Amino acid sequence: MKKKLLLSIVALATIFLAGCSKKDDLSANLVGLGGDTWTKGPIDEWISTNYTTPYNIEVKYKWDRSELGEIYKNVVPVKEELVVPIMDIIKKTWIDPYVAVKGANFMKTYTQKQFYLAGSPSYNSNGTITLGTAEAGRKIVLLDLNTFNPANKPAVKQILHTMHHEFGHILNQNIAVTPDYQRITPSDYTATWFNIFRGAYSSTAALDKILYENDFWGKGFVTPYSRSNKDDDFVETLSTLLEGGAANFDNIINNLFVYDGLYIKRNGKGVYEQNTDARSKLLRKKAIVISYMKDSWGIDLADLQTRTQAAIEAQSPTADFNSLLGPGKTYGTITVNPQKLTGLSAKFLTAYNTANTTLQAGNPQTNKGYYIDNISLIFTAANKVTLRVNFMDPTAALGVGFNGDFDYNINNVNGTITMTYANPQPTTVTYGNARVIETYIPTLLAYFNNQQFSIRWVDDIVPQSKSIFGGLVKTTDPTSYLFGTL
Amino acid sequence: MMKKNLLYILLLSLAFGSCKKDPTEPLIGNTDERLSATLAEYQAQLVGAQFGWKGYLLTDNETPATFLFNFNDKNRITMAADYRTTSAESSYRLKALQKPTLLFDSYSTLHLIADPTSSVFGGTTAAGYYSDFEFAFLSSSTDTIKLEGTFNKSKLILIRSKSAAESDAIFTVLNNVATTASKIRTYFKRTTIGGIECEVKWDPAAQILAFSYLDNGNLKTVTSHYYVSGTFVTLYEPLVIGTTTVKQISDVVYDAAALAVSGNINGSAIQIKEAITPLKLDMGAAQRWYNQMFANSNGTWVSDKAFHANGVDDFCNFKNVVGYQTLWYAGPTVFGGTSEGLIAFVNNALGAPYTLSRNPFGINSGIARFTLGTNVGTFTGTTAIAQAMTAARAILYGGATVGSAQDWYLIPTSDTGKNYDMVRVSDAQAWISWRPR
Repeated sequence: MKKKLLLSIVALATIFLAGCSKKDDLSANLVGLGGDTWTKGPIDEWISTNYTTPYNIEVKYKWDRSELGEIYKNVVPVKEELVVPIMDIIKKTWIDPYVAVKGANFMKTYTQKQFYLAGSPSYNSNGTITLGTAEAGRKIVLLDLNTFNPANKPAVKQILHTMHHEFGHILNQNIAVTPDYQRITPSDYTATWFNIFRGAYSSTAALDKILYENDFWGKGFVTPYSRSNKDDDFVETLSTLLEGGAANFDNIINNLFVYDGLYIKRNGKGVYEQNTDARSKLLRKKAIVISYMKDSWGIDLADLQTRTQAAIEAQSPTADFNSLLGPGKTYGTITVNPQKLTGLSAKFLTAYNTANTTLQAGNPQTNKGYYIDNISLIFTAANKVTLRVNFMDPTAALGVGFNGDFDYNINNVNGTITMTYANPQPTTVTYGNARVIETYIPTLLAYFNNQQFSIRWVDDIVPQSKSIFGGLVKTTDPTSYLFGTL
Repeated sequence: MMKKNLLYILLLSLAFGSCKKDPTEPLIGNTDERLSATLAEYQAQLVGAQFGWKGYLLTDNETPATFLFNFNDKNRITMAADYRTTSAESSYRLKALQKPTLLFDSYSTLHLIADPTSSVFGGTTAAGYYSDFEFAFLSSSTDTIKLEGTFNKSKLILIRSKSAAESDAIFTVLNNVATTASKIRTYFKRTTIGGIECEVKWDPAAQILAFSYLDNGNLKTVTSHYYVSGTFVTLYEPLVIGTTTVKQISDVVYDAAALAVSGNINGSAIQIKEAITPLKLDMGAAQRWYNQMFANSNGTWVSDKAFHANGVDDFCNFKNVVGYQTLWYAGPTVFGGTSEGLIAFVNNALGAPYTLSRNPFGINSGIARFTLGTNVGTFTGTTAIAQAMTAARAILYGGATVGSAQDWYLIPTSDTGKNYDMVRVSDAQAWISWRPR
């Protein structure tokens, strides 16, 4: 009986197997396979030459809603005429610096394989806008490109920031940064980082700015977005270092102080109280980013930063400082506050500090131990520069300060000026204040009087500082100079 | 044993049956092939229009737009729109999404009204005008293609242009119809469709037609946006009036002798005529309007465009008043005591001259009567405000002397009861639109 059953099963199995031996025709022509097609134009050729062939990167600029991370948003395509300028600038300021430092194979290996370009931002329900997304190292979506203008440096930098941010994610997803990074500011990550914006803190603009900046810089984060989570924090620090440059990052740190309302806390001699906590947090984050790039990827961040900044400058050049300074121009005032700057020349600092010490030790009845808070050079009238010495009364409330103004006649010849003390000086209040302190600050006045200066950017002194610092360098002595914020 | 045999039989039949191949080919062919053929057909149809296609778009927030499209076989298109008549080139392609779909796949004039950044072309932030640039084919005939936006559900109708002249005139015919409509001098307009007397509301700027008729004594209103192709006014939504379905009014022209707009619905001639009374007066509207004034912000009604009269918008020339914002009819919140009156809001302030109406406000048989009580300030002279207010006073009260009176209908224009049109009873040739501040 058992044998019969076995036999039957074998027979059946044979029939089953044999019966099913018929082959399917697997050579069917699949219609529509191979993706979207359209008649290729010059843009497609440019992309092929510059992205697809050398780096195996696809650049999609024609509308395809399915490429968007959030397909339920109103987004519009990019303008065709902007595709090549945008992708050219991205190539020169993102791919080329990495290629120069690490070689083409590095970029071939690690760049995402696809760009998707869209014209408008993606508007989020919380009132923020999305400017770009990266998907697991495969694709970068760049949004809000229709406002692109190569002459608009902040806009160019915003796109590069997004690029370096998203590529930072790819690097971090391939080799994770040490967990030490997230231990620097563990308790200040917040899902509601988007509530950090100008105007959210006070109806007084000056106070709002202080509280706003204190809510991220003051907590050791390089941007509001970096408070979002540890990964975005890391790539924001990386991208800010690359896109913003060295001087920008140092300037952020050099401006971190402890505030009492509208004013920086200080001692009786006007020495500011630094926000050492935030400074050290930001510096530790920077140090980890540098060592991560070196140890994980063998990339010298400083080298990459220099090349990136040079590329940005080449693509979107900054006019010379002299042509931007003066009445009715981009910049009118250079503010020099040695407590907020590093890198001022020793010769200028000696003149400044001697003046400050002498002023504080001056007549205790008439000037109550006044100290100099900062000075500024004001170029808002033709053929004239006003040296404004801002000095404070340590016996009065914080913020009780005076401006002492000293006028110098100048004749600007291609950015070279000689400052000649004007005689007579005007007699309005600020010039009256100048009479109170002038006998105590001769070193400072002498630093300028009858001296010839070159008005220029100081990016040779403080690298990558164009548009951040403008300065005056003595024509007879290049080791004697000052610069300040604009 | 019987059971076991049964099992064998079952297994055997299964074994043979399971291996049976179905050799039949699908009768209607391969789906993918059909789809790609359909796309090719649509593309050929689009490219094949020698003079291009006239495009009529109604966005999801009911913004109408008119386009002229010229497709070529290289996936390129030139287009112009009523809101930007300069022709510009961009790209398009046909793609099989859930339905055969026409994609305007690079930024173009069409995308301006879809742009979610309101600083680009207006609209609301994050949505623009709720428009589309991906359209699924709904139906097509040789000369007409109907599409629907796949994202915001905008309606797009393409009509083949038959001549260069027709293409050239595409944007002017819209204005022509607006001009025709404005030749009817009265606020109220009447027509008869399929034997049913209808009141017509016609807003050429928003491209809206509405018909109201009496249905068992109740006023029933049907409304649709329309587009204009030549002298054809075509409704996006067919409207049913009695037993007649109105899809289109053809041959729309002004008939000066009859003081009416003539046209043709489903082969029957119609006339849209002047009328000086509403088809059915809302008897409570005047009182509701008056009561609502006190509930409104600042206890006032405001009007942006002031009075239309005798065929002229802003008849009183408030546009000549520098800094003019709105014209107010306000109560005691503005004037104190129990006073109410007419006053202009200029440069963020209320100013003289102004009028006070006589109290109590008269309402008889659903008709409001404004009686001039007091003139305040200087109405004489040549200042723009004095001239505008003098003209406004003459319209509202029918005269300049204390005691002059004029009767007005109040017509609710929104379901919220917060928007009214006020129409002069004597001839229905003067009106003003009120809204809360």
